[in-house]
Amino acid sequence: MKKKNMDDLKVRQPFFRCFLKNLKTVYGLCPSCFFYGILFMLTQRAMPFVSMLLGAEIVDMLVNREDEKKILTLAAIMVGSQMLMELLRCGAAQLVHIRFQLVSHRKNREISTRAMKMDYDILERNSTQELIARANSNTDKLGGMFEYVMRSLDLIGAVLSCLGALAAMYGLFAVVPGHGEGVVYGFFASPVSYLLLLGILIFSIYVSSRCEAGQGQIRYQCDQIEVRKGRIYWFFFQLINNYSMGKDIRIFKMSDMILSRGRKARGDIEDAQKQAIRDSMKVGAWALLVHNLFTVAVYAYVGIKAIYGMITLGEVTKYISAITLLQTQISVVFSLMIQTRTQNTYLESYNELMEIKNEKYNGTLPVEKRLDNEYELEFRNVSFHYPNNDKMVLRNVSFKLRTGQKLALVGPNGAGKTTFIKLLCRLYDPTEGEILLNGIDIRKYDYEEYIRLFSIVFQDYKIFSFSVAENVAAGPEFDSERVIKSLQDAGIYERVRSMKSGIDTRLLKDQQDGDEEGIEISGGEKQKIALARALYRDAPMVILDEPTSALDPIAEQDIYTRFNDMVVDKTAVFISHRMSSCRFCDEIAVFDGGRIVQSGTHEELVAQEGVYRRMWEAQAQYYV
Amino acid sequence: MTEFSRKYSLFSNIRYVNKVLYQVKPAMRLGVYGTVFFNLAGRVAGTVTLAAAVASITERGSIRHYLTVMAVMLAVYLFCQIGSQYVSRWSEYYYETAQNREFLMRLVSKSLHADYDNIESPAQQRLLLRATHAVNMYREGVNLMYINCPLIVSTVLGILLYSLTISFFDWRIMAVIVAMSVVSSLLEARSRKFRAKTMDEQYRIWGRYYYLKQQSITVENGKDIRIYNMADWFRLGFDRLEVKNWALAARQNRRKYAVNVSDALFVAGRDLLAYGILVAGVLNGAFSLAEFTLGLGVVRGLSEWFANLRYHISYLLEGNLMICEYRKMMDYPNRFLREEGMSIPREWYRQFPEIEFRNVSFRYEEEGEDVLKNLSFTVKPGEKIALVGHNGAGKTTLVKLLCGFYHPTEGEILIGGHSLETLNLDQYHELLAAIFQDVNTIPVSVAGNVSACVEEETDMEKVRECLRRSGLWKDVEALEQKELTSLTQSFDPDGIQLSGGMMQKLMLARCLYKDAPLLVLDEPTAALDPIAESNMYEEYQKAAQGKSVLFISHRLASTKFCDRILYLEDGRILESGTHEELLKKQGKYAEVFAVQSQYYKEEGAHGEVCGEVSV
Repeated sequence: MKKKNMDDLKVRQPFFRCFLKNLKTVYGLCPSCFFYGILFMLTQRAMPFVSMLLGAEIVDMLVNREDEKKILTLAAIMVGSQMLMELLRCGAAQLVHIRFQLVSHRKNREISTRAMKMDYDILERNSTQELIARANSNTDKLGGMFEYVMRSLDLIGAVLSCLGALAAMYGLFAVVPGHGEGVVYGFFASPVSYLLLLGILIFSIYVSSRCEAGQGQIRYQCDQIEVRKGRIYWFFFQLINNYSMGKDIRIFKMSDMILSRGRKARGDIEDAQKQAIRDSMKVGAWALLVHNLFTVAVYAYVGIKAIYGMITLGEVTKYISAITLLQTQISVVFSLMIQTRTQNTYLESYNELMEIKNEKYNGTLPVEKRLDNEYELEFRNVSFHYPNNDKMVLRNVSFKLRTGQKLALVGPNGAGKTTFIKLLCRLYDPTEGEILLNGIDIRKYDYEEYIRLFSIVFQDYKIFSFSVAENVAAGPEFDSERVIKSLQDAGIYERVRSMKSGIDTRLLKDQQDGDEEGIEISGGEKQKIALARALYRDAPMVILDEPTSALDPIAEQDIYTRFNDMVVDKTAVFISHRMSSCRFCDEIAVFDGGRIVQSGTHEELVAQEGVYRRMWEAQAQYYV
Repeated sequence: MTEFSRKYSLFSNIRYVNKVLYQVKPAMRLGVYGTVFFNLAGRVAGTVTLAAAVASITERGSIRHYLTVMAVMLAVYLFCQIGSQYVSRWSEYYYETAQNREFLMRLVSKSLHADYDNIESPAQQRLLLRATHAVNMYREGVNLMYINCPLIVSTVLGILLYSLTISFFDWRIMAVIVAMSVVSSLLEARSRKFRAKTMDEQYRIWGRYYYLKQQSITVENGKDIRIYNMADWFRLGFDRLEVKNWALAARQNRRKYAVNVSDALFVAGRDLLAYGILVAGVLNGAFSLAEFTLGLGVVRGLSEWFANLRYHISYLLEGNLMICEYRKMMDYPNRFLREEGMSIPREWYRQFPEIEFRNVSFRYEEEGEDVLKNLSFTVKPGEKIALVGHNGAGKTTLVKLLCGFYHPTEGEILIGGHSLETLNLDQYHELLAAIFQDVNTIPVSVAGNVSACVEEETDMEKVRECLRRSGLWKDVEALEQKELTSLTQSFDPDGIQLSGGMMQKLMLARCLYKDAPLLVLDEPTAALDPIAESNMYEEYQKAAQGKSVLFISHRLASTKFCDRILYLEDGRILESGTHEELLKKQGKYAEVFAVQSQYYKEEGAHGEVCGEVSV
């Protein structure tokens, strides 16, 4: 049964390798918690021995009726050293515990960084998303990485305590003649009784280890269900924080559906937990029974020896404390081992995440800095499908983007326009064919340098809960003048200036840093700030994926005119469903079903029978 | 909106929590007594065993007597342990069940049924976060209260018992122990007070951490993060926060350490005194050795009881603080009426009555400026109104007011002559179907998203019909599980991800399914291609038949199916009339229309399309 359990626990890697690897991880996050942790552990472990050894001495001195002053001096020494140790222990404890949140937050920071630095297509994979979710929740289980370290130190401490207790019990070995006779006396006077006690101890250790393992297994299985169902439960629970969804929930009375889904997931968890408690309680009762049997044996053994006069009264208290300590610490060792083993599996998801390798080929070629912005991009027979779907999104697309060209991409939803952009900025690499920059495959360029060629506003651009300026500069450092200039060009500076802290005003209501609350801005305003971000970057190639869908007509007109002026010497790609925006582009490429089906100027295209004209007419009808 | 505040006493909170617990499992009552009994008995047995052993050895010296005493003691011990395990496991389980099934679910339900403005503002969101914290964390809030209440009772009993025993030895020890707990309690209260004071700060920090964590791992943000190289920016966000959190924790810890120091000093004093008295007592024959052992045990035990009492009380108060937050959230009053309000007349379900905005002004609390300024207009039954105007003109706010999400700061909204604030809001919402700017779905089936109710209550035939009408059916039909396919792959690996266009069709299907007499459409076509968009407008037109409609669009001409256009600017209605009337008027609307249509109209010169309006 034990073997099977271990298989279920999915500990693929040996215990010690995992153990050391995880400790190394935490050491990397916060080395000082080890230092204070060790100090804490040592003082914590030493304290019981002080009272055990000196306390026994005091009892014996009392039995022997020694001098009161002498006894009290010893008591004072004992009490004083205990006090010092306690102060040290508490101090260390504070210094350790203050690092609890630190470790957890730094761990989250690492997970976030990893997620932000991995290839986009890896991030997008379902398996990666699951892994990140798992890493996030599993690393907080059982007290997280911090407790992992504390538990490890505690494990070492428990082993030390066991050794100490064994050493304190040394006197039990000695065969000291007492006063008595008969079989019983003979038995207790001989080493046989000692060996028997040892045997009972080993048996009790064996049973408690089995029980701990069994309980660990039960807990683990229950956990699996809790994790799976818990995700669903928590999702529905967290909908209450989503005030945007709150509107739909109210109008469409979705509350019953949400509550019933949540309850159902919860019900499954409860069933699993109930079963787990029943199972583990049976195991637990056995463990307690054996544990107490051993205690009985110890008391009997030590007490009878004392009655026969083989050991002193002080020694009785000493040995009982030592054996009780030994016994509890041994089960502590086992339970810590089991917990550590369980947590190893939890932390495995973190390690797995950290070990994900980026697959995208990253070249080393520097991108030539050209003041004249002479960058020519070419799609050569590019076909592409997303990794999780065999359906070709782009089919054999060949296309040249000349320097300074203003290109419009139009076409029905799902025709492949946005995918085209994603390939251009290497969020994905083509399945077939290649993309060339000045005649060289873009994969050969250093990605960081390559990506600097682009200013992009995606359809689902994101504004974050930081200040306006930071959002525009996409980072903590910014040049105020350029930020203002970009905001002006995007036509939003007047609005920003009217905000209470100008460009330092924090955006979005949710979860601001510090006391200041952020302000909520409309979709159109967000879009303009996203535009300002693209302008601030001042890259030679500008790509706007439906940049004006949330803007009103005047603002749209404004932006288009401005953009036309601003990107004179740049290459620009526009995706828009507003056919009117195509008019100021030199060339329009019409996508349909993953191919470029038409291309030319507006006048040429509108004169042809085809997708473009149908789309144009569909929209123009509203203006006649 | 004035800040809602109410005080809850500790005892009312205890009653409140226990009532819910007992509702889930009446046996939880017994669990409390069980905890009290086993906790007390276990400790007493532990203290007495060693003393009993010493007594038997020194005074009787009989093996049989010794073994009998030990067997009895240990049987009691075992009984207590198993009993305590049984009680604690099950009560923990029922507790957790109550926490999730009742406390949390009640909070969810409360929040889902709260006035919209009660959940939207940041202050309210933080209250919600605190309330959540009170009921969903292990060793926080409700959990603390539940665990500590019975422990306090058994601790008090323990203190009485041990004090009685100690009074046989010496009263001075008692005095030191009492002094120690008083001083420590005061220091602890100080530390707790500080924690309470800094709680808001703490939550802000945690909330911010959560925000950064969520944002950085969200796939949709991944594109911008990569293109603009934002990873370091976020990382710095984490680091900035760490500095803040550390400073706060350090301040909290300093106060905690003061308690430790005081404790350590008192313990030393107590032990010295106890040894002095007991050693002297044994040497002059006042105490036996067994009494010496018992005495030391009881002294330590009593201090432990006192310390435990302090911990339990401090945890109880800590939990109490959070339960106040929880109850505050639960009691947060809705300003709109529900059952108490006027029932919606039957005929309104067939025809939405006249809507009148009478001198309505509105401002969001935080921003001083009025978003809507003294707005007055009426919408006749069955009338279709288009709202157009700049970004930030107040269109969406106007619609949200009509939906009963906010209260007008001034003026009132009349529905069929009755103020919206007097109506039963739940019933009123039954009259509305809406598509908002921010499209939201939940990860249940397509059908569930359309019907907005559980599968058992969903009319599948109607769902299919609505999907057909909204133009999404051909996509859904192609799926293996058709309308039962889950949205997104969050909880179902076979789930589908909808494109922006499909999402809006889904939203339309939801409105069609609801078939409500008032239709609110807030700029719903932004993500559609021209042909799909044109089809969508047609569908809106069909869906709008016989209904009252409010339609917000930036594409001015798309509003042609509306009877009347309201042109908003800066929170005011600037112009009102039909498309033709407004063009004739040559005002703001005509100007904006000219801008938007100029591209298309020039086409007229090419003979493709005819523009009849001149700029």
